[in-house]
Amino acid sequence: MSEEEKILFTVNNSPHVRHPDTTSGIMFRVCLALVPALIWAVIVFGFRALVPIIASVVACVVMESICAWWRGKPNSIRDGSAIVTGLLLAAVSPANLPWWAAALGGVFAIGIGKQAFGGLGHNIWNPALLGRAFLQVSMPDRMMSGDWPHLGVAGNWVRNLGYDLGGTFAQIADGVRAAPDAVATATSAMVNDGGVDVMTGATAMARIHTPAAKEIVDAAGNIAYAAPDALSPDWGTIIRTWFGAEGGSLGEVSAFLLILGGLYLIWKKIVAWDIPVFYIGTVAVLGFILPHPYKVGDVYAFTQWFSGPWLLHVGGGGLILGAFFMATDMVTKPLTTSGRRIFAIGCGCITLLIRLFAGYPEGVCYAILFMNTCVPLIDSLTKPKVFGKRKQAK
Amino acid sequence: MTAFIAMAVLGAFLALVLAVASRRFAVEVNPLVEQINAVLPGANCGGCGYAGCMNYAEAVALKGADPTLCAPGGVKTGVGIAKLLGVEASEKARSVALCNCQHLNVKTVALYSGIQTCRAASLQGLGGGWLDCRYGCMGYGDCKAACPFGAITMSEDNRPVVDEDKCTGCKKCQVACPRALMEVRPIDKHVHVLCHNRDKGAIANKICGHACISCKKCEKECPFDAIHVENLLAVIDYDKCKNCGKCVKVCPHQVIINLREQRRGKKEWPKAQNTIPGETLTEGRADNYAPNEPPSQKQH
Amino acid sequence: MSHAKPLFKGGCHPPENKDATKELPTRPAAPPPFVAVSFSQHIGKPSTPMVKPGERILRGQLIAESSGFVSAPAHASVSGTAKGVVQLRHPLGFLVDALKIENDGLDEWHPDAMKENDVDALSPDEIRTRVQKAGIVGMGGATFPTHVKLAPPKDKPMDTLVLNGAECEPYLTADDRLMRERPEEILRGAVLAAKAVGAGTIIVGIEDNKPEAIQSMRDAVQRTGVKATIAALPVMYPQGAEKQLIYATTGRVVPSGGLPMDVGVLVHNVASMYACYEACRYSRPITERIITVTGPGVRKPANLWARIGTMAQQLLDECEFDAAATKKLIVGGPMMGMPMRDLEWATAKGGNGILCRTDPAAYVHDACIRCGRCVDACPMGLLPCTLSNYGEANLLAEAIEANARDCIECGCCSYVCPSKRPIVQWVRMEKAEINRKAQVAAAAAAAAAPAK
Repeated sequence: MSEEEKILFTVNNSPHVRHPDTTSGIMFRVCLALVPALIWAVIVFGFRALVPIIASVVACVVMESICAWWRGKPNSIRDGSAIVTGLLLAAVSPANLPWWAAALGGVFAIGIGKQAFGGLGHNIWNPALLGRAFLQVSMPDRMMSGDWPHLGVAGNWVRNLGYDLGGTFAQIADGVRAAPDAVATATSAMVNDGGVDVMTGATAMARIHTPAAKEIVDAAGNIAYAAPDALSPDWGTIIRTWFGAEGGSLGEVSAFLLILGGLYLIWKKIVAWDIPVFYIGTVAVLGFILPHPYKVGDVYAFTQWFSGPWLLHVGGGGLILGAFFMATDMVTKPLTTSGRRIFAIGCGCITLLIRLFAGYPEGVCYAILFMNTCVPLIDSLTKPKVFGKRKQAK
Repeated sequence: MTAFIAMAVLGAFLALVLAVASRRFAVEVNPLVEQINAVLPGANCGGCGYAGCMNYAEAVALKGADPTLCAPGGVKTGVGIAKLLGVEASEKARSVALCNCQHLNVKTVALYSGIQTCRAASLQGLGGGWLDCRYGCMGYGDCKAACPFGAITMSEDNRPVVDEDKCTGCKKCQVACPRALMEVRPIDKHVHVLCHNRDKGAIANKICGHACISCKKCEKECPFDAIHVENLLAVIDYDKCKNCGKCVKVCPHQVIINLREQRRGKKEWPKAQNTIPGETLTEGRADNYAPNEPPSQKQH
Repeated sequence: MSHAKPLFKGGCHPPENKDATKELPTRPAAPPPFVAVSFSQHIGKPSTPMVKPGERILRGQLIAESSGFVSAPAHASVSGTAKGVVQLRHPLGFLVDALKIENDGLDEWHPDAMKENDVDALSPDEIRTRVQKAGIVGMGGATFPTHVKLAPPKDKPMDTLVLNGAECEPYLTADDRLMRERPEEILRGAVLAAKAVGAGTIIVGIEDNKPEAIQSMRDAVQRTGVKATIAALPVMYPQGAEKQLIYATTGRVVPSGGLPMDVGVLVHNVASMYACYEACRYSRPITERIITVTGPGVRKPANLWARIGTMAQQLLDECEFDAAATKKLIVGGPMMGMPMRDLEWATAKGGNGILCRTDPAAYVHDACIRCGRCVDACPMGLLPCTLSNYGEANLLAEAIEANARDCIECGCCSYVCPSKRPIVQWVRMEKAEINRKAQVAAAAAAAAAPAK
């Protein structure tokens, strides 16, 4: 046969055009959406916040390579999902997490959370949350986001600004007058502070978790108990929470930037809008409606209905991160639109249940993990109707 | 102390219940079934046509199935079962698989991308992918994936090579091949037609240098009337073939080969000279690029 | 006058890319030196040749007879000398027989194809006979013999004829131009087809990215007084798929596993209706059709009236084919068209476009990330990701539970998949295996039955 240099056509199955989006492109965009929030976290907590970020990402990438080599498959780090897992795991860790703990979390998240199930696309649970749950269970003291490490210079500026802003916000008329003073105070605080302020204390979220009752001593010396002030947070607390001045894990301090990132992902159609909206909406609604428990001695009492600190619930405790980045993780969410909404509402209910009545002040992680478990059930219940078939497909 | 006594009494009571139940509700199993199952190799390959070794043992013991169906077990199993049943064992030569395609000199006609399995490439419209002959071996290895005994490897020219020591003749490769090229024949038959091409002679000739062109020289030469050209392809009747090899000598395209020397280890098995062209796309990440921008792809 | 019913669920928006040929009026292709008229241009048994080499053939002459009910005859598309039977490559990959006719350039019509008839006086049976004799097949690509579609069983009455002018495939503009240039013939053909089945309503479905075609058809309705509704449909691929088109124009849902006749609807491509009119009015068979030659691989794209049997090389040369840049040659559109491995093929009644792409769309696919885009895109309400996972795990026959048989292979799922998974290929494998198992079971049942 003659061996001329003939141009060969490609023969493959239709369709012969594809949408330009790719898996690695999607993962890259998710990373991009997280970057502003993580930069803000570094500003708030100082450069030490980079430690868990870098350790977690490196551990995830290395573990993924090792698993690919062990399974005899081509290296899958190029699809970028390991980097996303690493960044998300860092975002749910506190800033003072030691590098080896973050790395351990990453190894567990990728090795057990993803590769043990068969790699990308086969895992049932969100790998980053699984890593976090593993760290929380094995070293709970290191993972407590109730204590925040010392804030950096910029962090202090934010905190002071938040205090001052919070004070003025409640008085709208005075606020206009007082705002310049507040900024001046904060700026001078930043200039004069120089060193860092070592502050520890519970975050606002921790403070509303079954707090002790407020004692009211009247003139006669009788003690009456009322709902603690923490359960009706002032605007200052709320704003400090939303701006990150209340501390927490790396992802809890940047509510606005996370929303920005989340909106970017929705705009690029990587994340469907219904999960964040339904999740946050459920938390907000239930957070407002449900009575919150507090302790009077050994006995539980409840606040009134329809008076819950819903803004705090929404802005704190990593809900924004969870709603926009964790619950929307493609692999572990239901396939259909109605399934996703059920999933989001379920996440919201369980988050609040855990926050109110269970042992953790932070319910997002376990709520999402629990709903991930229910995803196959949700999928089988919400199968779309096949065109031309009367009953829903079995 | 009360807890200890209570647990002990409970344990004893439950043990009694279990012992009574295991006798009262015992299922009668014909002991012959267990004995036959022990003789079978236990690979559960399904080559006998039954659902696993236990199922075949039941069929032989209780339903009178043919006791010589186990190909992986071979002669040893046949003799073992015959002894258990109390009958004479018959010695049959075992069967092994062979790929009936040499495809030397077949042209590469297209670059195929997509699912890299033979079954996918043979879909209508894709025409076998890169291969010009629509009856020939495509080389993606469906047979190798189907073999439960690891007897098939793909040579560097992308043809299946059967390790005849490991092959048990279970026929899973025959089922897996979308073009039914893997044929299982008794190992004492050495003459085979290594082609399945049923195109007219002139077309077959253009496609492959070792294609059967239905010239019928083999049919005329055979002294035992064992080989006939049916439907544009030479087919050997193995009941009549005596391995004399006369057809091998007269075939103008060397389509028919005699494997006697190869099986003795004295000669090399037939080699193909085509490989899958271009970059063989393997499982992994998607190689994506902007639309309207030609990717870099090697071409022959 | 449009009454577009609710849009179907799902679908996708591949880039249209029709600008290169939308405004180009059709023109006849350069006369080919020879044609190779295939005997298998339709679904069903190949037709039986009845011409000897050396005979003088006239245009429109019968050269191969129908070999059964579901079959169609073939006619010469040029006048000249019959050279003998050659082998052509069918788009589905196998070789088919064709008659090679050397063109003498005179373009002499056969007298049988020159008779004018009074179409209004034709009875339904006569319409069917003329359509059958002219070898009309579905010219949207399916090539199902039209006379079979015009003869439904008695228990399936039809009341609506839907004309498919949607042309939802990107790049193709053949039907668009036909509706702009020959709208009256299309409508009159539709009237004949409706008469043949007794349908009282005619609806023409056209996607609204073809406003000129819609206007042209509406004007033709005014001029001819034909009672037809022109429905402007929102653009969404696959609007032109039969079930989705029926749903969009009439609101009826064709049952799973059923045919349009189960809901009393008949669907025909506009080019088929044009051919029906030609067959009934002039007794003319199909000898040419509009083909859109387009894509980045041709420098001068065009809408050509190509004679049936013109070799692809001829048409591509006319459009200045860039062989070095073209990486993929597709018969049809990019979503469902068939890629050809060389230029050894000729135009037939069904192929409505030749697309030369410089992007081969050759991908290495990733794992399914369950993003759900395919579920949103599937117009049949299936779970394509599940079907792809069945295919990848080689559980081909088990995919019947995931409704693999309902797939119309439109390609929306593969189009949107970010992991570039060849979902349609897996579904085709699953369908093949399901059918094979059904055949084996049927054969076993047939073998067992007489023994009882």
